[in-house]
Amino acid sequence: MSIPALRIRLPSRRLRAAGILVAAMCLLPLLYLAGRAIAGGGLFDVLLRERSLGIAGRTFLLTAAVAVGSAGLGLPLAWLTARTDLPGRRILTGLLALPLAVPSYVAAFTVATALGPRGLLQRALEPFSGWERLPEIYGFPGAFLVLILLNYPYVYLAVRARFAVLDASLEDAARVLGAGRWRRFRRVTLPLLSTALLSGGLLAALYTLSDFGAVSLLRYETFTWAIYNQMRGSLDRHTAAGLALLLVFATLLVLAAARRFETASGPSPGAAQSRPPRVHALGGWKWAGMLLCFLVLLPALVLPVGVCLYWLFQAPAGAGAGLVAALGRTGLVSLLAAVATTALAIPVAFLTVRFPSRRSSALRAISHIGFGLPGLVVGLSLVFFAVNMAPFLYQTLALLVFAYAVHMLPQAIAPVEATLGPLSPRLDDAARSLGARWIRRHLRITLPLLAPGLTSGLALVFLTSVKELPATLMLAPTGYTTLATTVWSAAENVELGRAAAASLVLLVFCAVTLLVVLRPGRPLRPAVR
Amino acid sequence: MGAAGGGAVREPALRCRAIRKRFPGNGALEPDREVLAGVDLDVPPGSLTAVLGPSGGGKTTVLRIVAGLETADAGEVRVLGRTVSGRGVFVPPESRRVGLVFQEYALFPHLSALQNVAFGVPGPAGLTKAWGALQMVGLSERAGQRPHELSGGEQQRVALARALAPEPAVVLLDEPFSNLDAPRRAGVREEVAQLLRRLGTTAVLVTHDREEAFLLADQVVLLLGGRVVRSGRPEDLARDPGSRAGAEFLGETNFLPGESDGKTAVCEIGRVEILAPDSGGKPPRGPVEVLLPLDGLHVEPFLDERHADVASAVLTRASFHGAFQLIEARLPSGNLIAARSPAREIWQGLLRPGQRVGLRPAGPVPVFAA
Repeated sequence: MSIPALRIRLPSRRLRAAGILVAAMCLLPLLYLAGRAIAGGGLFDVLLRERSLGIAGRTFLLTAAVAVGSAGLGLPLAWLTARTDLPGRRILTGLLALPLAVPSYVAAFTVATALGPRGLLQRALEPFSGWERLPEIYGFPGAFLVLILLNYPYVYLAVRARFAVLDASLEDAARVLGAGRWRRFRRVTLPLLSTALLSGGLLAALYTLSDFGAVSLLRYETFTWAIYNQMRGSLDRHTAAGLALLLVFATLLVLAAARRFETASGPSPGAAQSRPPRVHALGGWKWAGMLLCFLVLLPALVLPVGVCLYWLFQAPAGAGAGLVAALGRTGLVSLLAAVATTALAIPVAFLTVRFPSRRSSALRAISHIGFGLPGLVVGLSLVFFAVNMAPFLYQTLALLVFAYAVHMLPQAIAPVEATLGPLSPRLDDAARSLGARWIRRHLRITLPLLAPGLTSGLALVFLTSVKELPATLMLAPTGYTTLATTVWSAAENVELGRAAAASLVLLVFCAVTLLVVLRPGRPLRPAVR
Repeated sequence: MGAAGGGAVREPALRCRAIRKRFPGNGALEPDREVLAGVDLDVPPGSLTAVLGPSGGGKTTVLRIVAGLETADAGEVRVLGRTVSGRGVFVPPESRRVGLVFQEYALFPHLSALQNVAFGVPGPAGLTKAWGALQMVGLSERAGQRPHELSGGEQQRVALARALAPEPAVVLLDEPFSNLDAPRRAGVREEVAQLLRRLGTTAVLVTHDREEAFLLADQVVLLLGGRVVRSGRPEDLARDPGSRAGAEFLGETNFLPGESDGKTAVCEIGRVEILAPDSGGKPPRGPVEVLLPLDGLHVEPFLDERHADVASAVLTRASFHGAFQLIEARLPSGNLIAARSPAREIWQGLLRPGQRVGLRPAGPVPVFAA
């Protein structure tokens, strides 16, 4: 302390202990599940059963189709808004990212009741056409439609970001070398976008693998829905654990691939963009471009809200009963989750940013496990854990908050790391040399400086918790219904008015939270320094 | 160039006539910016022309208009006698036969050096051609490397080979040496100029570096404020920059007010002979600005009050650079004047600040109407 210059920079004991605690928390669900699935024999049972093959096949089919479809939809939309004179592209740029905010169970329930048998569309068309049936929406078509509409923004945003750093002179160079429009796109632009396409597509795949809301309401039996049915329907824990472990293998595989392309998609060498990129004049094609945007936004944004409003006005009295209480419960558990998760993110960010080492990168990897664990799997594993090892935790709010924290920790770590990165560790040394003790240093220096990152982390985790469905279904104490579980179970029981009312409250709640967080002049991702 | 009716005069490889370009501003806050206000350019076949001017002076815009990456508001561009822009014609860049070496090289990061060079010459025959081009710039052994695996100088050579492989009618180079560090630059630019001459390629080089333009080019075009203020052989420009603005950009000069009688001018350092302008016109009469180059003044210790023809001044600054001494002196009027005195002219030790010196022009100098 008296010779600060000679102090070797090692994390304090307190910080190391916190890091170990976070790592243990993050590893618990995965390790416990793996232990149960392997020791209990569930994994081998599942591997030997013919039915598993069908589940795996359906999951693979849906995941691959959504990934490819999202790329096919995200790429042209990104190009239209980033590189053309499409009318209204400023507004469209933002609107096209919004489907990310729509929970899959809301979209699924509105699509099913609008396009399904005896749905709104069929009823509207019947007088003219006499059609008693429309093409089947339950099963693959509906799940595919909903998931593609909600997940294409991952590709869209990744490709847009790539367009922004793409050196415009590369396309100019190709032109001067005699390459026509198609050859320029195929040989220059597309290869340069490929990493963005891949990482966006893999993200879409990851969210498809972990989706529960859409596949359950649209009756397409992939891993998540099968696991849930084993648990709730047949109370078969062995099979559920085995299936869950298989699902985890799949998600971790996709996650690892996505990480690889994320790191590979840095700016190309010498890509200091000096000149604004060429804006393609669409001419007569602009109508086609606007039609495409409209065809995406109509079912992804307009339909959920419109259908909810319709059912709300058709609803019998009392459909909204208990929604205020559900809103309060949602807010409480999400707030607890946000605070807990952000608090856990702080030691991880400090260790990885301030003390880079093999150990801290291992901690970072472990703390990102939750990103690859579907919420349903986290919930399932913690149910097993609580029942067998910690009955006092079973059916408590604490366990639910714990599940949220493990699942959403990466979302809180990223903004805290981004804020901490550019802060000089000398600030802490300076406070120390001025005689400030630990508490005062952190209250007066560290926390205020980290505030932008902490608020972003809090807000992101809060929003995700509000929408979270599968872990809540598995872990919420009896009677602790949130908005998400209300929507889902009302939709399951065909109480359309109630599902619609809860969906609207949920959407408004999310939108208001977003608006509060995204106050003008307050970026969600804090600007560096 | 007044070649009308000349008949036998060869059409330049590249000819630009009265090119105008205005970039739209941002409403009332930021007015439109006129970048090119009628630029003429003639590049004889097989020559190397340097377009010299300050940053933001419109040099790059000229190149981009010639390449077709930008459209001119008015004016005509002809390549080998064919109108590629203007008179209601616009040939897209991909069919202009104009090569371009970008300032940042713009090499395709996902393609190898050879694939980059072969991009402009598709087909199996093109691969042979690309290989030849890569060999020509001495990089055949690095053909398989990606751009980020090459050094800055190597990237530059790949970019040059890529531009030359399709055998363009004219190759344009946009500040091609600005990304190289100073020690490498001299060697590389010498190599590039030699290569272009050996191939007999018509080339236009854009630069803000006076030395680079004078060193490499057959013809230097001085582009200031969107206009060509002077063009000619490097030695012509060095002697007579054509205008006060040109002289100020080229630097290393003093200006003194004077009075001209058409053959000589009187200024504070005495009577000086006027250099006849290249254009063949007559030097201005009446009040003029006399241009005194740094190297165009003899500086001597002031010995004798009776030397009536030598102006005296007091040294304010002096620094010795080995080969020469750089001085600044204050004339009786208060005007400051700078000069460079070669070491061989320093007879009696270095000049010191505070010392009185005599200044004498070394030869005829240009004057511009005031």
